[in-house]
Amino acid sequence: MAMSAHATAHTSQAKAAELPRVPTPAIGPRANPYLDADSFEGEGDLMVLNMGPQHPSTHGVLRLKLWLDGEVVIKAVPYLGYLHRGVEKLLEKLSYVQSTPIVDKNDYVASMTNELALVMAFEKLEGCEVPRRARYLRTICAEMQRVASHLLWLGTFALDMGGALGGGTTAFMYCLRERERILDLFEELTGARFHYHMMQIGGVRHDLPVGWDVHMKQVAADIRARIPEYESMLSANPIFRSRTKGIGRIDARLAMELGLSGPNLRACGVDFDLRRSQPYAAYDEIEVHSALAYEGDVYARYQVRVAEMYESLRIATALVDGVPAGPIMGRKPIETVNAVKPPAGEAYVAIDSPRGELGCWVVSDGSPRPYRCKLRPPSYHALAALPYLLPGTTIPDVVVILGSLDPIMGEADR
Amino acid sequence: MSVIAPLLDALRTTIRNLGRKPITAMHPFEPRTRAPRYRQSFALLHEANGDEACIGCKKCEKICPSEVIVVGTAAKRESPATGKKRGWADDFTLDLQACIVCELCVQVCPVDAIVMVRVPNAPGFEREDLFLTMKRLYENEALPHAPAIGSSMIASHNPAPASQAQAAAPAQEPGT
Amino acid sequence: MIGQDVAQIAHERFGLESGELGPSVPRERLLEFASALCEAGYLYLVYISAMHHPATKNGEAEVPARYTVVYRVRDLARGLEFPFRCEVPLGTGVPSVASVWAGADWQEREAYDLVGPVFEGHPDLRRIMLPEDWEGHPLHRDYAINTPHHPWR
Ligand code: SF4
Ligand code: SF4
Repeated sequence: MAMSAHATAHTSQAKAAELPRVPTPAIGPRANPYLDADSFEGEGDLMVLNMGPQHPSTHGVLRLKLWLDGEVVIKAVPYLGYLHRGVEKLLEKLSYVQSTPIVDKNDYVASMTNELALVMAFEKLEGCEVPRRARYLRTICAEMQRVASHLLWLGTFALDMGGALGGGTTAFMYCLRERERILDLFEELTGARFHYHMMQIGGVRHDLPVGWDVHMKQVAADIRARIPEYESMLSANPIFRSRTKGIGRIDARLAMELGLSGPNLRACGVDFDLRRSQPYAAYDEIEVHSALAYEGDVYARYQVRVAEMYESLRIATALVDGVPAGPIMGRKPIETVNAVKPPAGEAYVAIDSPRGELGCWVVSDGSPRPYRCKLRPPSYHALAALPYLLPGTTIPDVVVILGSLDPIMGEADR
Repeated sequence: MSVIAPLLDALRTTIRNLGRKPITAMHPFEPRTRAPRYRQSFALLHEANGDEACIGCKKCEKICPSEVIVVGTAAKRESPATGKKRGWADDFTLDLQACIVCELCVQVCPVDAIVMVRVPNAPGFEREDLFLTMKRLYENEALPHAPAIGSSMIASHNPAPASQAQAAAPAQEPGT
Repeated sequence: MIGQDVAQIAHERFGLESGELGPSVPRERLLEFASALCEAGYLYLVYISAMHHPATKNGEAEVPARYTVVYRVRDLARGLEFPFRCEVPLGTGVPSVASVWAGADWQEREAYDLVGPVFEGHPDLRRIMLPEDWEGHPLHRDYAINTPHHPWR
């Protein structure tokens, strides 16, 4: 059994290099998320299982209601809202200046990118130019944040896979150790470890401290050298591969309709990356290669995320050498609460956060507070795929599939 | 064989990691070096001549996103040190429980009166332990504080092209 | 980048002018319009959201309270986006586009839960963020941020 899994793994890897990278074709008929569980006909009765909200593998406070036939899931209904904090209502009440630190708490694993999306939407509304130095700093921060976020994902995903992999917690500890060094970098830059408040409308709040670039390049080189070690612990392992390959497959068409984005979409062979199609910050000055996989399964998502880590480290290292001199703010310094008063209008800006397309749609009526501000969290869209992915799988796979989508509930529930 | 080899590989990784220096510290017992910009708690400063720096302008109270600062503005009166008339705050409280450590209050202060200190507030057993009264804020002044103060932040945010070009030019010369 | 091809379709088949914010589609033809977009290759649903406008007085004429439901779709192959919107007075439903884009299901549930427009023909229109017995829709402009709620929430 394990032998054959290993053999197919090798051949399919060889195939991946040869095959044209095409979007994942449709995989059988779509699961019906609106199935009437009462009318299900089988031997015996269905069992209803509530997984979460306090379940260690639901990555936060997600509740899954599963209808089970034996161990096979027939229907899955996710329940959200356990972490709903009314952020969008709060943003209507706060001024533009005050909003930036608030959204830090949405995707608490990648705070930098939250701020970036919001701030860029406000800048578009206001029509203010961001100086080149600030754009470079934003890009470096966003890419390092992506590495930190993916490292945490990799660690928790290894944990989700459980004891099959020589303990499971080993890889988790190693990943968190590397992530810690990135947090130290951010602490040096902004003074905070999680909720940075680095971005501000018009630029960035903190300039580079002396010696940061040297420190950053050291950390990047170390992490780059250690990712292969984690791969040797995870993807080289036949148990890991047999538990992830062919599980949780999603085809490109469904992924697009559901609005899946980022690594989840690129794992379906859809070559779409906001960093390339709508270059923001400094991405127009550097070449971005986005990782692609075409199977659309859990293993493909794993591959894409690991490849993205290498790419992000490369981008950040390449940019930090060429940070241009100049101001870090493109507008008058913000000294009062109502300093930013964009003209009436609407703007939608999206960036490629570690989890995918993080957008902000903001409507202004000319006052210092947004009239309406909607955040488009990638995790929410990823969770919407669960009713399609889970039917037909077993309970251990539910955990793996959920983990592979990398949802952050703080962001999905807002 | 194909199962054993990757497991041995993983084991080798584990053994290699045994010799690596830990990056964690046993926190309360071992000091942990913190970056100079590390920001944790707050302090109010005195001016060099011994006056309280805060002029009670309420700018920080207005910008605080979580509304945790309350400033009581006193009437204008002469400063005992300089004899000039200026504003004063007769009450200043900051509720650390709800503070999101965004540093906006530091950024907007026109007289650099409030700063963030690098030492975390000790965990307490009562809610009052996290409630910084004016007295506690002035006591915190002795603690090491982060370099960012209102005027330095605003100065670094100033996009003024003329002064920036002058400042940047010498830095570029050795490279070119 | 706004997709000019569908702007043309909107103009020719539906007689709608699309500015920067996209055309305002009448609710009777929304489903037809959405299918036309899907056929034109706009398979990716970026978001569906809504906002509430309270009744205003515009000189003599009184503008009744209304919802604006906004949509944004994308053609990933060409990198084109197309926003459009649908305005309805309070109390009138908006046709659901869940049959066109599967992802519209949760998007519409969120818009219904937080803002309030009712999506007609939605397969499963329930609250998603707030408890099922919550009263009101918090993103209404007249829903005060300090609206008192029951102590057990
Ligand atoms: S850091 Fe932010 S939240 Fe805390 S007191 Fe200052 S302005 Fe308020
Ligand atoms: S701390 Fe600064 S901003 Fe706050 S009231 Fe005093 S002078 Fe004004």
